[in-house]
Amino acid sequence: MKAGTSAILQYLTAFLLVFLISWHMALRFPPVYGVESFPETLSPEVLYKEISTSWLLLSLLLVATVLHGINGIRTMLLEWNASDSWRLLVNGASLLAAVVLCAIGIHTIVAVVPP
Amino acid sequence: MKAQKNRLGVLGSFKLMGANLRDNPERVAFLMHRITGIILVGFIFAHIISTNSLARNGWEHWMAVEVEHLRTLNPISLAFFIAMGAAVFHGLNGIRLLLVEALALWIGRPEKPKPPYVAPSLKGFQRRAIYAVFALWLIIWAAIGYVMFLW
Repeated sequence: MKAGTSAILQYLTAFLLVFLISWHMALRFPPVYGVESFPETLSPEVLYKEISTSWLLLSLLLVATVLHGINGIRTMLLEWNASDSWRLLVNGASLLAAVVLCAIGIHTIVAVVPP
Repeated sequence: MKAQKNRLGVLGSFKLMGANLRDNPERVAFLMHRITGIILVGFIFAHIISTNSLARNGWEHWMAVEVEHLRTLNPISLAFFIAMGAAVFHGLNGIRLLLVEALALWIGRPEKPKPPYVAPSLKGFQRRAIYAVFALWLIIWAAIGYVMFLW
């Protein structure tokens, strides 16, 4: 991936993540669900409703987070060394990690059962 | 391509020896953006894998193991709190970077250099924005701590 393309990917995912992570974190604020404490916002009924109604936003959050995080670490690792073999190794490992994390996250969304 | 011996590589961004941090909040923000980014990648790995226990082990395990750890102050809830702080700083500083780097806002206009020369970007609003990021970060992080542990 060209450095310019990588930077555009970082900026676009960052822009998306500002909104998506704010939303994701705000949902853990007890008054949003009218519950008493933060751990109660993680109760089965609340979480299942959240996953079943907002699965698309959660999937987008997952993909944007994984792309932004892995691409950020990849950029730092490519600063470490400039050899071709290192670049190949880092790019391969980044792609593998991104695919595995997205697959695990999507599995969570798809395979969760009603409480 | 042959690696250069004098190349600091990624360690250069963490090397503070010789870096002038005094009156240089841009450098501090850069360093903290990297550190919080690394913390967040570790957290994302753990978060995606731990939430997958919902699909693998069911709700009882989720409540008994995953949620139970967040009820009291312990190493796991403390790590979660630190990750939340990292997310807030990374996000706020990221918004500043989007505006300053991607949209070139708040960096002033080029001007004729006159001694004592101070780059217009250092006189622009971007520098005050860094201080605003640090202040907002501490306020929001404290609020998150209140919601997590004292609410």
